[in-house]
Amino acid sequence: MNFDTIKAFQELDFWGTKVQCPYFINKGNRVRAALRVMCGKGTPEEIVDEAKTLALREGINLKEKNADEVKAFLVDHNLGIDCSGLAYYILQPQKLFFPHAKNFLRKFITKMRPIENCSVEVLAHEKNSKTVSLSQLQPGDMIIMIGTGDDHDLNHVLVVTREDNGILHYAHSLQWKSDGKYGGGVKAGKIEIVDRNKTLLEQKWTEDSKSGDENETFWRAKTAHSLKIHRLL
Amino acid sequence: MIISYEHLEILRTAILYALCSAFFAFLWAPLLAKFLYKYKIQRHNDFDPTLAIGGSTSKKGTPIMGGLLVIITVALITFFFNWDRSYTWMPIGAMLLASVLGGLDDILNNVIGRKRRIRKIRHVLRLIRVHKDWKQRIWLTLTLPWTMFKRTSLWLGSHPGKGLHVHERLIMQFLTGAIAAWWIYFKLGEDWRQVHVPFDGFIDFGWLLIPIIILVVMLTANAVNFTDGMDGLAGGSLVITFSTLTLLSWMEGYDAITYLNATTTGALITYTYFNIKPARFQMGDVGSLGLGALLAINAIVVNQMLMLPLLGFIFYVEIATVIIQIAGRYVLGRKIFKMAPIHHHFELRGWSEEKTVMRFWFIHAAFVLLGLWVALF
Repeated sequence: MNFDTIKAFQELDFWGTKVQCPYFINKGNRVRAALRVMCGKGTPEEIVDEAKTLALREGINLKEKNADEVKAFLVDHNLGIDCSGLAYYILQPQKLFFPHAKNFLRKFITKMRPIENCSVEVLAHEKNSKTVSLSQLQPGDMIIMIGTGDDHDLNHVLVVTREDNGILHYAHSLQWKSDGKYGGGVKAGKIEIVDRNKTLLEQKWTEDSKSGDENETFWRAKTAHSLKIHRLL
Repeated sequence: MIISYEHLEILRTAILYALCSAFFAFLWAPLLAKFLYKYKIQRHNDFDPTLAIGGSTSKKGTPIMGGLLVIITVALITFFFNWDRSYTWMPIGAMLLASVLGGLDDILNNVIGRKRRIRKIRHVLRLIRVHKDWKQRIWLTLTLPWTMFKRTSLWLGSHPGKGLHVHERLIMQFLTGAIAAWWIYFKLGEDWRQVHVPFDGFIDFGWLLIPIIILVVMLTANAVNFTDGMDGLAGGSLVITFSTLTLLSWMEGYDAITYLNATTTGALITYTYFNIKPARFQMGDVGSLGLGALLAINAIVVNQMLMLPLLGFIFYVEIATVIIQIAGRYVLGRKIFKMAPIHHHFELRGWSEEKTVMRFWFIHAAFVLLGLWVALF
């Protein structure tokens, strides 16, 4: 596990200017066989390098931009990280089983490009992780939400980074509706364990000083078809 | 070993060819520069990010097609003073063909071209199903393999812009290689089919020589093309390679090829003088493709094909990095180098252009020297 990577994503280094890595999911764009950095699966270094290259191509001097402008540049160029990509870089699973890889070619592709094929469903697969109860929860576990939102069309994963005095800290990559186009990205939040015998939804979720339904992460958890805690095998 | 007077005379003449070529090129270089500036045959920044590396804009507006200086000088001097049906016809013909291809690309890319697009295979398949005109549907079905070839060849190219598309370049380069292979295999006799193997005499590849020559010519032409990305890099490296080839062809007793190599070296010296940073003009595809083809053919003609990886070391390193980068992109989904060809990788890592170019020259020189040493066995 590499929890330092969260900081690297939260503070992408553009010549000393620290920029929060935006959220980007390839679902709508359906870019295929491209660089992983263009599919929302790049490392912090790759995202920075690609942004610099794109800026060169377009004659834009990123050095003169402030953090918000650089972030807007990243968003406009589909550079960012999705939730499973972030979880992959934090948890660094040694070997994953890809249920969708049925033929030889698919298996070869998943072997060569595991992160592009790593989705929330893959992380939640029984061959890759096991479910644990709230009382057994520890740093490195994932809170996996399947089918969230009004249309139940988005899966999401939070990675628990630490626990102190009954407060779970997690990191994830998501764009809230209230964030607008340029607001989302790699964020951190916390879940205050009010009662260990109750479900996750009955605990107190706080992120970006917001709780209840204002906290969109909690809203996603609430609307999910399935909300479970998983631990990688 | 005692060198005979006649043999020494050939070397003297070759050096004279080089000097005359350099002088002649020097005489008309200002005319070429004026022409290129007047008609604004310049590389545009909009599709070439490498021009802006390091925040430099000094290259913006520098004309391309400066390679014409070498191509025209070599072609004219060879045509008037070294025209030999057995030896210099084919190298010059192939060089000119590759240059025409490169020149066409330069002009389309930078002067008169407009963007063309290639339909996606999925789009064509859909049209075959739904097009209202049945004749169009048949036509699209019949030309589907061609569309697939065009589309898949895009995997090898980075930006299908205004210039020649990758499949067009491949076909023309294949043609250049094929002409060279045909000439060497069928027209020049059995001796020419021998390939020198250092420490082990000669090997005869038989008919396999034809595809090998085509491949080597295509690879080398593109390799020099990729190397032509920094001021002085391709020019300086080619001077080293062609002067070594002059020496090799002189030792092997190929007089006309010796003169041709010497002429090319001379013209390249003048070209590189003008191409040193800040460049008066850049080589462009017109020069790099032509000189790449000439380099491959001249090495093949003097039976030193196996020495090409050493004689053209830096060119093959450059093309290898491009291939690795493309393979990394498709197979691993990530870039192996910050940018390919590799000279831009070092530039992005903070090396200055001058440092990169000069280090590449001397690394190249060291490997060419190794190639010369091995070739002598």
